Amino acid sequence: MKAGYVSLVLNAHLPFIRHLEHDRFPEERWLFEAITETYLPLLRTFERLDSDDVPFRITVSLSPTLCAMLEDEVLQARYKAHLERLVELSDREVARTANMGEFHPLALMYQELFRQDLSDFVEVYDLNLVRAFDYFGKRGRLELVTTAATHAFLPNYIQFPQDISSQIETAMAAYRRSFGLNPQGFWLPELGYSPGLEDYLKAYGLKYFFLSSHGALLGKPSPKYGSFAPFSCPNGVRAFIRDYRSSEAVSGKGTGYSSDPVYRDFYRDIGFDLALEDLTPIIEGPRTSTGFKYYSAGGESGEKKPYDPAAADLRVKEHALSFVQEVAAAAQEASGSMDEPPVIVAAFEAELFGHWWFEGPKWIEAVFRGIKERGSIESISPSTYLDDYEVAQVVEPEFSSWGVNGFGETWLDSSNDWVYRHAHAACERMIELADRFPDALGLRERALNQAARETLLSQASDWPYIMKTGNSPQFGEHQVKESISNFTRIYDSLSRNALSTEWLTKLEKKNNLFPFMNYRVFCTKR
Amino acid sequence: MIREKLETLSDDMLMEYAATLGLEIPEGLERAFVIESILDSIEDEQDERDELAAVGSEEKKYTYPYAELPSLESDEILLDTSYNETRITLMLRDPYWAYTYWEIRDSERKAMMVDPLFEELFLRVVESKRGEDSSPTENFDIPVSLTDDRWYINLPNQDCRYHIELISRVRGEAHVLARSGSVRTPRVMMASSETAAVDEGLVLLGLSGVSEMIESGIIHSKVASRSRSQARPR
Repeated sequence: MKAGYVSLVLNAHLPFIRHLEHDRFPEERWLFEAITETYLPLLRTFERLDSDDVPFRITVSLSPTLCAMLEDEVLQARYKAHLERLVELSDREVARTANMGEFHPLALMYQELFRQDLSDFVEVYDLNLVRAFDYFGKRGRLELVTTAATHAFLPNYIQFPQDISSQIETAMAAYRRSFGLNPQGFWLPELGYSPGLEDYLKAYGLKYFFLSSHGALLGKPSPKYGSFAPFSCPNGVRAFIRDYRSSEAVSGKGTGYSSDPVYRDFYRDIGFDLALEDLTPIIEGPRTSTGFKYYSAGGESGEKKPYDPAAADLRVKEHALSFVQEVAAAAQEASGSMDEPPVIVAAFEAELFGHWWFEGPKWIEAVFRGIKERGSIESISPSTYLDDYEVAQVVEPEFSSWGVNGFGETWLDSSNDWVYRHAHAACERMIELADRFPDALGLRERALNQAARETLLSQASDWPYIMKTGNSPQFGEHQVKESISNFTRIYDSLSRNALSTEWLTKLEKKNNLFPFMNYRVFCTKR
Repeated sequence: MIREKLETLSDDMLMEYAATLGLEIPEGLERAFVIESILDSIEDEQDERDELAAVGSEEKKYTYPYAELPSLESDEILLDTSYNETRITLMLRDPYWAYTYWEIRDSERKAMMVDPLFEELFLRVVESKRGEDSSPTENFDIPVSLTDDRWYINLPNQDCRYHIELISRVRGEAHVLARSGSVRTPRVMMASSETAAVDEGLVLLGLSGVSEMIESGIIHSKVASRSRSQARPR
């Protein structure tokens, strides 16, 4: 008999960025880097596990904005061009490092990697990675769940019921468009939970969501099985609890596996080391990372040695074995105190694997191979667990998130609080518009749908996050201001009955996500 | 890299960039020292960002390693500074702090400014319910000026409901201009439960990382030491 289960959950999300007015837009590279370093390597990991018949079940939340970008033909073409530039640069790097014994094998590694990326993206996946994830979903390997339409930190909008409904309903529609059915589970953006959110999830037929450990343990009552079992909210929606210890084991600062000095360094990149003329295929304008990283992270001394892939591979196997052993031991110990088998929910940002932790996808692969070899635990999806086991305890969870200090300060502090005055006003005005024009047609309907898109776009949790953390804060401010400004222009134009068709058409082409958008999701009387 | 880029900037641009970083550069400071100050500030910010990202959501996906210099062009999008409504909003940030922002309709504000009988504007924080008992409603006031429009408020009690009122006092009489919706502060203390009453429950709490969460300050618990002693390290 199995001692218990492990449920790996990955939240794949990026904010919607699509700037047609520029041939190459710097922040689009967030998407390109994530595809190159995380999504393609993960898909190859799934492929290898699947073809070797390794049983694996992973839950993946693909955010609606990420799906919109992955399915967008303009961004697909731009990514393909980006990959071609990477391949070109890799050829040059192979030549440049020909007499550099420590770096030449790495240049060859990148050459092979980027050629494979290009081949996979174009020939295997036909430019559309959403379909590739869907393939593994249909095969029962992945459980694909959804999240708020633009990944809003929902506790900061909890006073606007129509807005919460709009975030969820739009996400559900986006999911159906991408995957042809309704999701069973919901990833609360940033694990941001406020009491009452489960009522909205239930209204849309969602069966479960994920919660931070402290959001559960501070619940009423504290869950009797700790974080080892889901519980039921009073309305019947289930909550799976993120395991604190496994998340620390993987990504704890300085102590997690991903911080091991043998692994590839995230920061050191030829984009900052080489002369600009050596980087011309990939860098135009300010220096930035290229993906060619030749050093390992190094220890506390700060000294960085050339990256050694063989040593990193060895460490990956050690860390995977350690994880499997620890999870199995915890499950074994917990199972003695439980009526049902324990389930350990290891939930992470998908982009941790590959983008930040280069070896992360290999670690995932080694974990599932280790689980198969060990045999005492199994991987399971949340919906299968709910199908197979009783969830008896009822708990009222507590306000919480996975942000700094566990609550809302990452998305609400002096660096970003100005956002809410405007985002909330847009919410109120959008609700007002939807109630005022419930049966709009033609140009007015188009304008209202775009107003709804802009309202939702202004709420992405990414913007206050980067204002707080200092990564491109001006860009975050710009994105919020642009969305609010677009919304306000539509609001004012509708009030004056003077909307510019040309301007609206241009905006629809630029922010073209959610083509099915129905502004009536904001109506109060539905 | 960054130093090289800084060295290409004019003195005025350097000073402008230093100001955007919140640095106070004494007038006449040599250019080389200005650049050093900026580089130090960028390095400090990088350290802080690493700390934040690692503690929180493991998000490096937006990171520009060795941050690019931000554009020094001012952002051209100007949002309305006012929606010309009188309202107040209260948002919960964490168990101890809430954020409120408010606005007063232009005509009302102007009237107050010229009214010789206008005495003060203040926020009244109203605690409406405490836990499950029926303690009487408590409140406290925070004086604000007519030019203030936001405030962070330290909330004294957990598991309580709060709302806030924007009040003007005219000739000794208080007038509620706007009232916010209410928020409930979360608990930070684990509830006493059957879980903690039995050894098996303590083992599960320990295995769930309760001790580590207590050490990190996210939660508090009277059962902490007991769960620590019951759980073996993983």
